[in-house]
Amino acid sequence: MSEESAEIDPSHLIVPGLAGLYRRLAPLSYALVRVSTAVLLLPGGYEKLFKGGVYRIAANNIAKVGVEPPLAWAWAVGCTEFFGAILLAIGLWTRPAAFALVVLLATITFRVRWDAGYFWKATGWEVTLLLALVCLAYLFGGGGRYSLDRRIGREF
Amino acid sequence: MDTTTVKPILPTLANLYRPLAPFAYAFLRLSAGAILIPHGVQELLFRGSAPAGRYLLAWGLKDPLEGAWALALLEAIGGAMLALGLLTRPVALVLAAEMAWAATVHLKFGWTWTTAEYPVLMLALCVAVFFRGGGRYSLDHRIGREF
Repeated sequence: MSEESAEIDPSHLIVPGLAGLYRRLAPLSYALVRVSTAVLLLPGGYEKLFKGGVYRIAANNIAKVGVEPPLAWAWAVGCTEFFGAILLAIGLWTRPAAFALVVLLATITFRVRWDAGYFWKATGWEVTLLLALVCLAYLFGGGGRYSLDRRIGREF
Repeated sequence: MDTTTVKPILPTLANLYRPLAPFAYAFLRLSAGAILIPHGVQELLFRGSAPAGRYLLAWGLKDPLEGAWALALLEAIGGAMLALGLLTRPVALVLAAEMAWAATVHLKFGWTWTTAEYPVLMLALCVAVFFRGGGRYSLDHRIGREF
């Protein structure tokens, strides 16, 4: 039995009959968030690298953060989002990928979105903060079950 | 997660994250719950329930304001319960339903961070928490009884 399934103790359950279902679902939990988050990040990276998004952010958000030269940083951001998301999705070099994404998303949170306030409808910072926290969890925990890191048996 | 079956390439680095690894899941649960609390609090204290009310009205609900209050309570109190891991699975399931609804409502405005993408991210987190429950570091586990 997997570590996550073993965590579920039928004697603690108010409806002990659900233990079988819970034990089947629990191992999927961590990978579900890893893959969903990566899939949500991927279109942003794709747009930047292949649809001219680097020029847009170089002129706007990168200039706002104030790093030089803007276009080189725009490409770095696009590559981090695109390749970082792919690595996170398949769980290969999960921790380095998560680390790069945490740095990127925290920078967006505090340097780009901060002035818009908290709430997502007003392009606020809660979305990038949540994504940064999720990536931070994978920096802590690594790829886990259903990751290439686990399959290979070696990881950063 | 378990660091026992996977060998670290850089053992020095592994010493840094190995103590943190057992908390990864609890950290996910805590983040998902905590990020929701300001939504509910804003709607309860600063009458920010109008947007949710409009969506509920458009959706055909007779009394949208009551629904909006219910959503606000759900986000404030449900968010806190998810963060603490109290009645984790039922709360996660109800929040997942809310997020699925929010995603469908916002989908017609597009697929960006200010439309359907964010509810879908929250949906994934709530479903994941329903799958695993409170886990080791939760009030459910501390109490020793859970749904």
